[in-house]
Amino acid sequence: MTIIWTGIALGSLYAIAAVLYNLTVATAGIFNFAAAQYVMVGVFVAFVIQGELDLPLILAVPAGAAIGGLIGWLTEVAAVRPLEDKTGWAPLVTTVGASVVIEGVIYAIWGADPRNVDSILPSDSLTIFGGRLQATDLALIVTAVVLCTAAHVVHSRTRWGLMGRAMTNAPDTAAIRGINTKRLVTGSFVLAGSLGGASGVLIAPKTGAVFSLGATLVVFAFAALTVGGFGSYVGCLVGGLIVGLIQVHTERYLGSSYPLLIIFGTLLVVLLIRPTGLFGDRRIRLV
Amino acid sequence: MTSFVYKFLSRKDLWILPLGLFVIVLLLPALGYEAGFLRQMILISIYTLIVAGLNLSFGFAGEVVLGQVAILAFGAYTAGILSNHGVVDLSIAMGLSLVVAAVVGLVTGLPGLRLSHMALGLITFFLVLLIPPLALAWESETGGYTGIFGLLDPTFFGIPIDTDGALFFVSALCAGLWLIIFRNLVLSRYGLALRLLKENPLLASSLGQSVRSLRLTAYVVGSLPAGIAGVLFAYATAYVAPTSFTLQLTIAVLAASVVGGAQSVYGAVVGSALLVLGPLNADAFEKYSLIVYGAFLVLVGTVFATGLTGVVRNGTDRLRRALERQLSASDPTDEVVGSSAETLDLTIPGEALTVRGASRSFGEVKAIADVDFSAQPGRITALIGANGAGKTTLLNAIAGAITLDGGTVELGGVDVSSMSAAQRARAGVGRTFQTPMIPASMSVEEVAASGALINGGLKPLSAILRLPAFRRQRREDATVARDALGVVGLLDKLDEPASKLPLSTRRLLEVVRAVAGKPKVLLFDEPAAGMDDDAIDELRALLLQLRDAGATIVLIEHNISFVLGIADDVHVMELGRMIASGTPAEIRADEKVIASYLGSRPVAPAVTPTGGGQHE
Repeated sequence: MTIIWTGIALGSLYAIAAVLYNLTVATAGIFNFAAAQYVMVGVFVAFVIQGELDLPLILAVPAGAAIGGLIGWLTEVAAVRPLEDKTGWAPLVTTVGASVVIEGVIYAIWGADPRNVDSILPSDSLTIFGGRLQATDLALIVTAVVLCTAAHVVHSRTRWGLMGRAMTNAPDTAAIRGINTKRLVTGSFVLAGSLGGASGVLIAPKTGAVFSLGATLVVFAFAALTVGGFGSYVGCLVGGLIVGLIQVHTERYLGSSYPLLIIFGTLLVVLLIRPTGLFGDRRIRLV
Repeated sequence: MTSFVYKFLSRKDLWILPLGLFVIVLLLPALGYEAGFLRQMILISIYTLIVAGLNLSFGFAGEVVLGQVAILAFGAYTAGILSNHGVVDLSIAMGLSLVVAAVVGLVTGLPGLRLSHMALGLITFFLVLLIPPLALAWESETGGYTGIFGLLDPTFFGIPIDTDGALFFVSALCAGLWLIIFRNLVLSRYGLALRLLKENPLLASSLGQSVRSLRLTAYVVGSLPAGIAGVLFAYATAYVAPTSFTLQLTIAVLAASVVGGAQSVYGAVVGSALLVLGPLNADAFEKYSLIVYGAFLVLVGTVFATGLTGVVRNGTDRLRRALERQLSASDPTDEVVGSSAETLDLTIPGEALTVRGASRSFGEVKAIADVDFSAQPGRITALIGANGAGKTTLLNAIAGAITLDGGTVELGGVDVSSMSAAQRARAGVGRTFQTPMIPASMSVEEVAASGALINGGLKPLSAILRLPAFRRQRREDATVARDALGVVGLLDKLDEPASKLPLSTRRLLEVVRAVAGKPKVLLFDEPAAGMDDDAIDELRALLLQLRDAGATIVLIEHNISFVLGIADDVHVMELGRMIASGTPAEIRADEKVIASYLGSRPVAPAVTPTGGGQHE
């Protein structure tokens, strides 16, 4: 059971990253490659607050949200807004660029060495259903479940979600119907940045602060999204958990060099057999 | 002087310049350059191979590929493992690495191209991360983290390659050969098809191209040179280890592609040279290289979409046209071909189009319900109705851009209902789009020539080798394009960038493109929208000429006086149903049509907001 809890905790991390990607996919139809870097920035905010400024770590939540939101906003302004065609390959190139700039800045300041961040939560482990897990892991799981559920409810039940769905379906029509599509796009980037930045406080103790975190996280988030299905927040959670569980089990039974290979294989098979994933929106496939 | 410069810039055989440069570069080792310089040149050749491969799949086909470095690694490991087993001939290693690159390309491409654009990008990005675990998982052959050492003194077809000069010669030869293959491939029907695909897959399929096979071949063929590069890389650095194949290199390669100009052939050399010789390789800048590469991607992606070679090309094009104007002003006898519309001997044998019981719903909305429709050769059949009546849906269903829930589409007695859009285009369905789709990179002549793609294959091999069959086809396509352009008097604009033309000319050009392949039925979706009166007159003349040439023409149009003036048969739709059919005079008098669409005053087209969105 312990290994399952470990997998679920790891999967929750991927689910949170997947939500950041899904935010812009589901509201604006744009895959923002840089989204995982917001988590990386959040993790460094946590490190700076705890390790360099000696302040209470909890401050990393508002600080991460503010800095992450700002970077999310900058990504949209610099890399997406000037594009004429926002649906094809162009935003992928420019958001890869934005992602690399963010990574490069962190690398130029703090270098390649990973830094530790201690959790705010006690390091005792709890026993639940016969398996042990750390308090940080439990917090991560709870956060992922709450975040995915909330995002799902907002997306499917509220005005904001309705506007987003209208926009991914037919942007021009949505604009004609009085939806401020520009603000919606910007909003989804800022929200992704804020959530990513704020989540750093939970993720930092697990991963440490290292500049390459975003580049690894993007492929796991992508795997989670593909398995779960683009456009679906329930898919983010389920996909994330599946990927996390696959990872810990292959690591345990096959060795540490295999998880990536197995996840990659799973990804290819899912794409071949069911490109929309478990809960995907069929229309997003065309975006 | 000006006339000399103009003539020089207009020459079609300017390829001789890069070819000459290539030969000179090949001779560099013989001139006794030192090893350090040659090593840099080897690296430039290697990167040129990688970047030029990327330019094919990314620049020309519009597939964001981030895995070139992984293919480089596969090629390098192929060479390393072969060398461990005593096989040091570069030709064998290259042959095998081509196979490996093709297999990796297919395994990742087939699933990666199932989902929209970003899937292939992310899968290939993932591939780069897989190199270290793959090397570890197969440690007995790959040497794990430490890698394979001591790759020295290879042979090439049995000839010892034991100096930097010799290795440079082989590297430059490979890079140069690939550039020739690449150039011949993109300056052909295949390249034209790729540029249609990049503009919009819908456009490519409307001109008879299978989007799936185009995307897959461009991606797989674009991976091949990276495999070759891997073999050269292994022997140039003398060792193969996972640490060489980083995400940082991936980004550098992508940046080199966009800075040089992704949609260009020689841009790869420029980008690669900047990558190897540029200031970023100085130790002081290494720390900031990621920031600079990333900024390049954002900047070039948003502002200078054409890269450095594009800037140069635009400059020379502008210079050439300025000189052309200056020359034709001073020398009136040197007139370019006349600009007024000529009447050519034109035949377009149309076939009867019959739609029976067509139905299609989008969610709850029945866009078209049980519609019967037909169009005859030598007649203009108009389809009118308010926005949301289902006209474009019907047109898309005929063209195969959407599938019907029920009903059949027959063309000349052949049931085409189960065919894809590309197959229908080849079966003789030609169309234009409501918003003109004119690829930004194409000249007027190229746009017209792309219409000929619905007849005959792309024949990439014949294009690479420039076989006689290729030349014959190229002449035919040029004739087809010029004939079609002659009809609308665009012959004096052959070399102009088509996307820069005014809207009404672009609409005419779309009609020309649709006509060039002489399809059995022509579907025109609001060709007169946004046109001024002069352009409408030109369009009317063109449509009548096409009709008299025997074409089957289906015309969707909102300009009622124009459409009722020109049509032979008129069909009126309302909320997905056909409410009236007849001659223009009958339609003008039909009470249902007046109530639904024309309004009490015959000429005012009433617009009822029925809100069908994009599926009007």
